[in-house]
Formats: sequence, structure tokens, C-alpha cells
Amino acid sequence: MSALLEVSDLHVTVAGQPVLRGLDLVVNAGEVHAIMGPNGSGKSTLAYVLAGRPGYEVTRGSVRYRGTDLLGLAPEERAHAGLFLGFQYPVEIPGVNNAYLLRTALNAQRKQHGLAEIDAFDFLKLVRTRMQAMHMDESFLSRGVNEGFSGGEKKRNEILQMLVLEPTLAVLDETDSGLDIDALKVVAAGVNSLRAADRSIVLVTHYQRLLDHVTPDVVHVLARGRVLRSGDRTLALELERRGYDWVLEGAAA
Amino acid sequence: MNAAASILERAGGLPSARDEHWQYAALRPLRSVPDWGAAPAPSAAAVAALAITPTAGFDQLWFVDGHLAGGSLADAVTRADAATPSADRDFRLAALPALARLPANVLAVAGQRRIEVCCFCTGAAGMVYPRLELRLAADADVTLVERHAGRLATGAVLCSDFRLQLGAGAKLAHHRLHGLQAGALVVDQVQAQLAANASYATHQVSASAGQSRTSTLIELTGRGARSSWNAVMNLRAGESGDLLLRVLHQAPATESVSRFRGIASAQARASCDADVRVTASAPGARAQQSLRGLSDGAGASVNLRPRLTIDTDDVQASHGATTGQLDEQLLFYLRSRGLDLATAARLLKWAFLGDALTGIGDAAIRRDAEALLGGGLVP
Repeated sequence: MSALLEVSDLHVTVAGQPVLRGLDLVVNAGEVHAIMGPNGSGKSTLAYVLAGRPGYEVTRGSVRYRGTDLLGLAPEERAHAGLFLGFQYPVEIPGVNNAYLLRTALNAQRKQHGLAEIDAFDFLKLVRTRMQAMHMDESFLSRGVNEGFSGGEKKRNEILQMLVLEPTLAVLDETDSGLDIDALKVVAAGVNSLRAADRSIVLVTHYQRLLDHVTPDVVHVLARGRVLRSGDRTLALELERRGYDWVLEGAAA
Repeated sequence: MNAAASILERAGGLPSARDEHWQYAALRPLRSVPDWGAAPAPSAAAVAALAITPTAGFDQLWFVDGHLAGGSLADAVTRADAATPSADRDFRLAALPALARLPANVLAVAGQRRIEVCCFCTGAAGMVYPRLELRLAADADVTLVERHAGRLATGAVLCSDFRLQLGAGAKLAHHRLHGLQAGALVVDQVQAQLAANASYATHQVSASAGQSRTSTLIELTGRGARSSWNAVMNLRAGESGDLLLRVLHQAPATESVSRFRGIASAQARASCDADVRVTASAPGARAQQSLRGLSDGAGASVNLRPRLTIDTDDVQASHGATTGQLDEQLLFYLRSRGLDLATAARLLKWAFLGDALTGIGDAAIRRDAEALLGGGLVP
């Protein structure tokens, strides 16, 4: 099994403060990894660093994606290479409608792969199918990106974008936060529909309830800026039962 | 004192930086103007050479170098005597055309009409002073598109004076599209007076002039009169755009909306001074003001001055002004979806400006406004 993502001894500071302190992570193609951990442990920082958000300084370590240095790529280049970040707090962009963003993003990706722009008819057909899967009304397409959306609608919109762009590596940062059980099931179904042998998904989550619907291959506990423990799905159940203290104590010992 | 100096002297002299409402205007170029005399009237051959194409669905008036030169409505225009200088010093340059002995071109309009006023500048020496007084009869419903195009001679200024009188119940949608050559100097005035239940909606797009200053006075003199003023600027390096808006609520139940969206790129300066006054004779007035500026690049500056003066207890009013730069979070979000930085920035700028164009109901006019603003900005 080939490694799609290899994070090695990653140290990151934000506003001068160290957040990641030697994180190692390997995600193979076709796997779903869950990253759990206490608040402030660096989970979102990892997600942002992978996506290339400015303001996150890598002071040591490396990240290789499909064998290439990911850190040397601009955010849009990472997107073109097949990386997708599902934001924990998706932004609102009044004046830019959802359809326009989706189509522009898709065409940017197609251009990078030497493909012609998608035909308007084909685009609508594609998006409609994906929206039906996400139980989203077509009227969302003409609205500003996330403008006036509820929290749950914003998260569905993130997954919709993911389904349209079909990334090779999807990093979903607390996609389940703020979702009711029905919305959670829809989002989980969307994530599961993308599972494939050549695609990987990294789920950053606090709660194991998402993992009831999206079964991870590997669960990691990220705390104090590093992965302290990894295991299979049962690790998530144990964390739910015992919290994180035992992991932190075990790491200190 | 030569004729040029006399014209200015009688108008009250050029504004200076000491004039409170001119402090952000590009005054130095005005001081360099060698002669405030009007450009000569163009010959018939010169007008014919312009090959002006009428826009389908519109009646037209053509001004060439400030002189009424033709159009389907030209025969309907009457001439009025020169106006006296305005007592309001902030609008004193509106008297220049009259003082330069150019007549006021008066057009009375009734019923439902679509009118296009095209002002062409050929580059002839002298000041360009298009003057138009539009008088809308009661219940008239008019769409007015005002276009400025061409080039000015070195040192010349486009100084237009548009006066609008709306009778009771009249409606005017006024779209001002400035498309002169880069580096042009524009100082213009619009004064609108609204009778009872009249409605005036204006969209001003400033995108290409080098240095511009527009002063707008809207007087809501009749009960229930309403105005909506929307101004959009997209200024490139070295350009400066300055707007003064004064709205006077002088009757009960009047309403006004003032909206400004301006982008100043590196070394550009965008300014908007919006002064809304609700007098004691305007109970029940409603006034909203929203001024937003975006500075994008080193040396860019945006100056906003929202003012609301209220002399009655019965009023609903709000005003707000914000300046800032492109939101880094939004830029990153778009880049994470594969848009490169330049495209993401263009998209966000377009979304920023588009807010003030949404009221343009006519799709073709909206496209023209967008194209003027575009300059690579339109996605």
C-alpha cells in the first residue's frame, strides 16, 4: 500500500507560539484516518498547514504528498494536486454565488489537468446529482457562498464542494460539529460515497459519533502538538469512555 | 483680469484644501488649468466624423466638447439664460459653464421615456462644459443614461452641470457612466430637486478618469420624496476620485439611501463625503447611509466621511462607514478551492463593488456599468 501523505517531524508555530511539536503521520491511499484530541492540541493547525494557510510557519519537518514536497506548493496548487480542506468554520462570501465558485473551481482543476472547461449543461447535471445526495435544494446554487446558511447548511456545502471536486486527499476539519443527527447522516453518506482505493480522507473530530457512520481505518490522538497514540476504531470508543487524560499520562510516563 | 480669471473669480474662486469638503479633491491639477474658457463648438463635419450610433430603444442627446450637437431630442431642447452662481460654495463650480456664456439646455419630459445623453470629448483645446436641465412632468417615468467618452486636451477639464427637476410622482433612474481616457480630469455637478412622491435613483460609475470630483445635491422638497444614490469606484494606480453627496430632507416622510463602494489600488485615492441633513420640516424621514472602501496596495488610501444631521425627533436613520483590505480568510478559502490569488482577489473585489450595482434593473445598462468597472475585474 503506497503512502499518499507522509508527515514527518512537523513543527509549526502560529503567531510565534509553537503548536505542532514533531508530528508524524502516514496516510496510505484508500484509508480513512480520524484525528482526535483535546481542544488546542493542534488538530486544526495540522489541517491548515496541509492546505497552505498563510500565517502558519513550519519551522521543522516535512510533508510529502504523492511523493512531492507539499509545503512548497501554494494553496491553489495543492488544490489542483487533489487536496481538499473542509473548513471547520466555512466563510460567507456575499456577492459570489455558489454555482459560480463551484464551476470556477472545477474548471481551474480541469485546466491543470489539460482538460477543457466543463460545459454549462454538464456542470448543472453534475451539481444537481451531488446536491440531491446532500439533500440540498437547488436554490442554494444562486445564493452567495454560505451567505445566510445555517451551520449545518454550511457543512453540507463543504461536502457538496468536495463531491464536485473529487479530491484525492480530503481533510475535513470538524465537519460534524453543529450537525443534528439527520444532517450528520447526510454528511457521512457524502463522505462515504467518496471512499475509493485511490482516495484518502482525514477526519478531524472531537466526537466519535461521526465515526459511527464513517468507519475509520486508523484513529490518532493528537495532543501537545504530536500524535501520542494511534489505533483502530476501538480507540475512538475508548476515548469516548475514558477521555484523553490516560493518553496524556501514558505519553508523559 | 483676463476672461478666464474673471470666470473663476465670479464663481467664487477655486476651492482650496482649506475648504472642508474639498480637502480630498485633486486640486493641484485644477490650479494648473491655463484657461477656463469653453472649447469651441464643433463643426458639423467634426460631429459627423464621430459616427455616433444611436442606442436602440433610447432617445438621444449628443454633446460634443460640451456643446449640444445633435440627437433625436435635440429639437426638443430649449435654451435658458445663464444661471447665477450657487450660494453653496461646495457647488460653485456648477456656475462655470454659465459664466463661460454657455446656455442651459433645458429638456422637458413627460410620460415614460428612455433617454441617453452622450458627451463626447474630441481633445479640442478648452474646457468642456456640458449643461443639461431635465424637467420631469408629474408622474413621468424616465430612464436616463449619461455617458462620457473620448479624450480631453492637455490641461482641459470636463465640468458638467446636470440639473434635474422631478415633478410630483415622477420617477427618474439615472445611470452615470464615466468612460473618458485615462488621466482625464473631471469636475462635475448634479443637482436634483424632488417634488412630492417623486423618486430619484442614481448609479454613478467612476472607473477611468485620472482625477475626478463629483458633487451631488439632492433636495427632497416634497412629502414622500425618495432618493437612492449609489456610487462605485475602481481606481487604479495614481488615480483619485472624490465624491461629495448632500441630501436635504425638507419635507415629511421623505426617504434617502446613500451607498458608496470604492476600491483604491496602489497609489490611488478614493474619497466619499456623504452629508445627509434632516431638517425640522421633515418629520417621519428615513435615511440610510452605507460607505465602504477597500484599499488594495501600497500607498492606497480611502477616506470616508459619513454625516447625519437630524433636526427632528421623528426620524429613522442609520449610517456606517468601513474601510479595510481584502479579507485574508476569504482569499484563502477561494485559493483552497483552486483559484489562484489574482483570480480570488478579482472575485472578491467584484463581489464588493457589485453590492452597489444590484439596483440597476436594466440588464444592458448593468453590463455597461460592469464593463466600465471591469478593467480585468469582471470575472
